[in-house]
Amino acid sequence: MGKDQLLTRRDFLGLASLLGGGALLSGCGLRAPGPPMTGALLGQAHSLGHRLVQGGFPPPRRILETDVVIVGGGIAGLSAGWKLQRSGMKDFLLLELEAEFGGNSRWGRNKTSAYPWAAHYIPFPSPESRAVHELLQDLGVEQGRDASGRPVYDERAVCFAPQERLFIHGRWQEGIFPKLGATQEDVRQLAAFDARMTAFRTMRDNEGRRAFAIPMALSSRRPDLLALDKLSMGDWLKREGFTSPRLRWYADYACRDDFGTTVDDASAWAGIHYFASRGGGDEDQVLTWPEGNGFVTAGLVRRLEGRLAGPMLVYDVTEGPSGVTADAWDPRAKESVRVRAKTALVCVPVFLARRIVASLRREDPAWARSFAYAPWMTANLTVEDPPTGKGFPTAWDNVIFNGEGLGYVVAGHQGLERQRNSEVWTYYYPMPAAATPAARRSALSRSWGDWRTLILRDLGRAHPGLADRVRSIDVMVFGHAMVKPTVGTMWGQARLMAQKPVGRRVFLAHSDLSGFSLFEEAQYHGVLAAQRAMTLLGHPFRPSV
Amino acid sequence: MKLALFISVFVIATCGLVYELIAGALASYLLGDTVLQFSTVIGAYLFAMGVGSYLSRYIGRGLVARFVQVEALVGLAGGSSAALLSAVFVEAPAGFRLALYGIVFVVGTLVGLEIPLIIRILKDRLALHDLVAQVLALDYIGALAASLLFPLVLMPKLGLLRTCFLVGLANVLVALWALRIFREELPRSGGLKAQVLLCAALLMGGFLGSSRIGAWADASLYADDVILARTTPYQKIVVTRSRHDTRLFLNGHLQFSSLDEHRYHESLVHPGLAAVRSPRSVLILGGGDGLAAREVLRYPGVERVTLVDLDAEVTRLFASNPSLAALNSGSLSDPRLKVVNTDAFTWLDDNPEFFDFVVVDFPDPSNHSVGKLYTTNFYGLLKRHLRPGGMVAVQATSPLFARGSFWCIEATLTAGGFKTLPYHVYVPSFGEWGFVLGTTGPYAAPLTLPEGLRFLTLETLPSLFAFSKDMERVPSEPNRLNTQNLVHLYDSEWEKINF
Repeated sequence: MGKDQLLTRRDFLGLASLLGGGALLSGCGLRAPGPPMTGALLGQAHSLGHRLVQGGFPPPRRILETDVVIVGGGIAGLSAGWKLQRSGMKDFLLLELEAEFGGNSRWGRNKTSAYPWAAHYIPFPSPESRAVHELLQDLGVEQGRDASGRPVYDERAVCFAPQERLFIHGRWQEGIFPKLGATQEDVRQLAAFDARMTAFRTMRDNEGRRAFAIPMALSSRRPDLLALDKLSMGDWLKREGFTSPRLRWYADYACRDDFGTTVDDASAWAGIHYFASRGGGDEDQVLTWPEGNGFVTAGLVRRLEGRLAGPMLVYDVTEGPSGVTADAWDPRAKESVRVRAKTALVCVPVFLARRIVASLRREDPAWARSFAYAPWMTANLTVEDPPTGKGFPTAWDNVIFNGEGLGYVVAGHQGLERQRNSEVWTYYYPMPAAATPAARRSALSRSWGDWRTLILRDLGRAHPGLADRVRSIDVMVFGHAMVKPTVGTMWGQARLMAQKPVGRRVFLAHSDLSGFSLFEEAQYHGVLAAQRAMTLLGHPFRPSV
Repeated sequence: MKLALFISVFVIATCGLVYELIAGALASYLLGDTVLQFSTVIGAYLFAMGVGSYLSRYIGRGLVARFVQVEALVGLAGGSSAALLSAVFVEAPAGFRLALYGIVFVVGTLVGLEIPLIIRILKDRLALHDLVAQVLALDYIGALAASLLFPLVLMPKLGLLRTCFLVGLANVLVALWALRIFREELPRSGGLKAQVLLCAALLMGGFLGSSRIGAWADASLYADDVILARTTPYQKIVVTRSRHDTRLFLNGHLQFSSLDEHRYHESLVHPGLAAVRSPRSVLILGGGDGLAAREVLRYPGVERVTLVDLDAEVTRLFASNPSLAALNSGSLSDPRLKVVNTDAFTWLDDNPEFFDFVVVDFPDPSNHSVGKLYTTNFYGLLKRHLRPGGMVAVQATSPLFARGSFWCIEATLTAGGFKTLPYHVYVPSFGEWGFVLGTTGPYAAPLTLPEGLRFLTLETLPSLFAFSKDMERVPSEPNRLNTQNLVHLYDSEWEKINF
């Protein structure tokens, strides 16, 4: 290394990185800087929820009297109220922990659009879903029957074309199954898989029940079908010779999307239910609105005006010889309230019910401890001059192959206009791995900035430069978003125990009782609980379930 | 100075590879078959570099001055290569391949001279093993930089033409820098400097004029003179004119030719409007050129015409530009007519008004966005805005070229609640063109037509409703918001025609 050397190695590397870095900097410099990105990290009422664990509420000073007290204003609770009201019951009261009603069907709105916070569509209900048909008729979405007797839905609520696309190999393709670059074997296995699901879909047992029905309570009890709950969806795929990695990804996506679990955690019964319980063919359509299932929430809340109270943290439900009491903390008035009723419908997830209902708290039964939940994060991004990307045009549901999250749904998709200058994209991110409390805590302790980085990295794969067009990102984290239909839970004991009345006058109602978090199941259990309450009170009604 | 020289090597290497990529990309764009184009361009380029390297042995004295000249020439030839090739493609497409490989060869040869010259210039300044190692290493690193910068930064941000000129300028800057560094070895370098500055000026002019070159290349895609070109948030508007003919193009698609548009617009409006009993208020959806409005305003009984078109720039042009306003007889300035620039579907959804007749003149259903305006839901909405006895007339693409699409639109109107009367007309600049009349009551052929028509007569009117065998009805599913089957159908049908 003498003086003859023009550059030392360090000079050389420094120069190379300088030139490389300079190139990147000049690339950024060409981009016009947009206004800063705003947003907030919103969560369910964590602090209120934690107060439930801590306890120590002052004794109630005010007392209210009603016939039926409903605890929880998600779809189960709202549906219970709806059924009571439709049956002519006037004296009931619903208490909700959050400031907003709807639970997993909550929604929001900004200058650009209304948008969902979680559930965002309802599949065309099958004939078994009688209560769903009734609800949709009441909401004006189901408008009658056509000549062949099939329901006619409001065309503006039926998901517009194009419905789904997938980003793979640098471009968008139509549909979610990864066709681009698929081998003949992948395609053959997909066809075989579809055929199996069609067979399950059309299968009826000796009593005329569907193999996989919605509500799931109406499904066949044939032992060979129930045995599918004994293995995971992943194992079922292997057992049946479905080895295609793409098919596996597709099934895994379905499990994460509907259940918040991976294909290896999900019960095969639940996984097949996803594919085989819906209409199929022409009937395989969904109803959706800009605010997602918030449309239903809003409709139910309108109908139940005057009977809803929130935020009200019910911390105790105790059954006495002649009635029940529900004690609630009113965080605004900072006082406790007692509701005396003849019966209580506890429409909250089981992990909360076991802390609220006195007898469950006392006995702490094993079944109530066995419900496991998947945390989720959802985010609503306001995007200016929204990019479409290469290939198939922007659809309602836009999925990235091997992406970190589930992709994004365009909230304004049901808009009539030809062109939108800005859109709200709802980004979904289940956390199937966060099963232990520690993993859950670390997932939930992320800051808004952490989430923003994750979201933009994931979506940036399909839309480079997206960060420049995003004006705001609002993030909501759900610690216990969905009950997980893991192996053995669908037809195990816990679910059946949870469906029994607690004592004589307290009924649980929640999609937890079906083992998976579907809108139809939550509504089914809400309506069923209302019917049980009316039976107990001797109030006549026309059964919907 | 050492650092400066090595930066030069890096820049030279980057530029050299970018020229190669530009030639490959341009050839792929214009000729297709990416694999073939890139392979042959890269092969020719590398071969030419070899030729250049060999030729460097013939450069004896004045190494530095030659190096400066080579740099300036690489800059000029390489930097203008994209513009030159585009021009050749437009003006003499037959000679494109020859020009492509010619330019690739010239630029490649010049680039091939660079590295040998640099090595020789530097050979007295350091040991051979270091020299070769470092020069070649930087040469290859420069290639990496180019291969990343070109697709990720330069092309998306600047486009092909400006990228090319910019890279040329970088080469010329290296020449200028060399002049400065070696100023002691080049005592009388005034002439040399002038040459280099001239190249820089030419390239700078090219860079700044790139948008114009683009516009010129664009204009040459149209057969006639472009008299007006505007880009709006919705589309690109181009108006061309020859001696007798004015044409409007939106996003490159012909909207009308003034030679035969009367056939189209008379047929769009009169078979329906002349059959409506005493029409007073008319709605036109689309039709921002005012030509359908011109036909509607021929009816003295019509008191109010509302024209809804998305693009304010189109209606503004056709109202204010004298030669364009002459085509529509000033219809857009008529006191009876009101222009609303907004989205037709949402406007109709929010508007409580009723009309006696609606003209629906949207672009063809070539994508899902426009496709919404050809759905059962849209037609149902339209029907709710009609007075009893009212009618709609819908432009419905070609029943000959897109037979399935035409009958799909007809089936959609039926499903939307209309009784339909399909008809068609021959428009030379379009071909055989179709319309569908949607009625809410019985249709009686008109007894009179307005004054001043150039095409329609009461005698020929019935012939429009007759379909020859190759245009006869084909069974079709109505187009709905949730299926948009029409968009797929339309796409596949026109794909067969547009070879």
